[in-house]
Amino acid sequence: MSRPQAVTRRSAKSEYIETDTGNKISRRARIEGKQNIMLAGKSVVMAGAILRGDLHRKSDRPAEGGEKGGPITAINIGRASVISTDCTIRPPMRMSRGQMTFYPMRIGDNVFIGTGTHVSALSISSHVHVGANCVLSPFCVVKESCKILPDTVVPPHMVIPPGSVVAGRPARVIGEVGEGWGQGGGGEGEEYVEGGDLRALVRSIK
Amino acid sequence: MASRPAPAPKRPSQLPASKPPCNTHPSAIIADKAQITGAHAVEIGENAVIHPWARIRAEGGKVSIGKNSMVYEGATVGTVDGGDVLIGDYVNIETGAVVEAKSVGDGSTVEVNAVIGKGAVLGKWCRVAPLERVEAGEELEDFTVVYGDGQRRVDKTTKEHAEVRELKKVGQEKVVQAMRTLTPNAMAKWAG
Repeated sequence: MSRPQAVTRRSAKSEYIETDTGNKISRRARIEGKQNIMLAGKSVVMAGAILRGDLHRKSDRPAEGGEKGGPITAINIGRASVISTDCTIRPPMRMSRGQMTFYPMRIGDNVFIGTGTHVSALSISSHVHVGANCVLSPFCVVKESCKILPDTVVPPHMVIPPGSVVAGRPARVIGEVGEGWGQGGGGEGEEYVEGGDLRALVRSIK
Repeated sequence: MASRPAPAPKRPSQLPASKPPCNTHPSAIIADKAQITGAHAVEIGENAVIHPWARIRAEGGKVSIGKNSMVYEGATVGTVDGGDVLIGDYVNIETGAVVEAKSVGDGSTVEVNAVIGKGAVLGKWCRVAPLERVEAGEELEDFTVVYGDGQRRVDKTTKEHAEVRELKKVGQEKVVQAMRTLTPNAMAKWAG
């Protein structure tokens, strides 16, 4: 993760730490393994969110001359994504070649994850809106521009096709997002639109 | 106006006021940020894993966690006023689950954000799906699956095939092994 800016002594303690790439991370967010978490820029992690970057794939390969091949990214979050309060983001794990391994998780740009959601998906593509209190079980895959209604439980390994509206326990595709998904909004001072450009929302979060 | 003093250097995290008497097996893994509170005894079995921010509340009674069991982050085990909680072996209590049951049988899984009421009794190899609730005092037979908004059914595959149970046990042991390499053990903080 990029380094936080130096805070002047006189400034009051704000809720969010802002990094030089514009990410805003709440002081009350609970982050494990922060060196394995990549936030692309202008993303927000709110209070109480739990990010498990410590659960990463452990490479079995013996060290080549003591040199590790670069940092392992456990969680990859795109630009202008918002992770609301009390969410849990943990990489999915499964048995592979006789060992339990964790797979790296990718979250796209402009993804809004509602409060209290548990995300263990393998990947979430861009412009997805996930409602509050959802559960995205390990290895599910959410494609672009989807909408996941609140209180949905997405079963493991489910692939949600692009542009679908998903709800229920277990989650079922109940419709499609319209043509205008994500259009409009995103301008200064306007209400943000689901699936749209979340940069204005990120800017307004203090 | 007096100028503000320099911000104090980060203090090491302080133990909560009431650290319960813990009896932890030396091979158990307890993360540094796990929260164990309460006055009653806490017993953690062999190879058990307690993730960061898991909460074990031994306030209403003692809490005992069996072998190879895992309590994931954000889960809460233990009652505030209700009595002992006994978690069996090979049990998985997933993220955000709230377990106040009197006992959870071996091999059971309580999935994400499920709620198990006070005094409930879960049999062996049960499975409670995410966001489900088991009411207080309810008893679940062995091999019950609680799913989809309160429905119950019996997990015949696990019931009838002993090798499925063995495989599940082996799988759980592997998970514990993987956790061991990834989580730095802060057991010293909670021991004794």
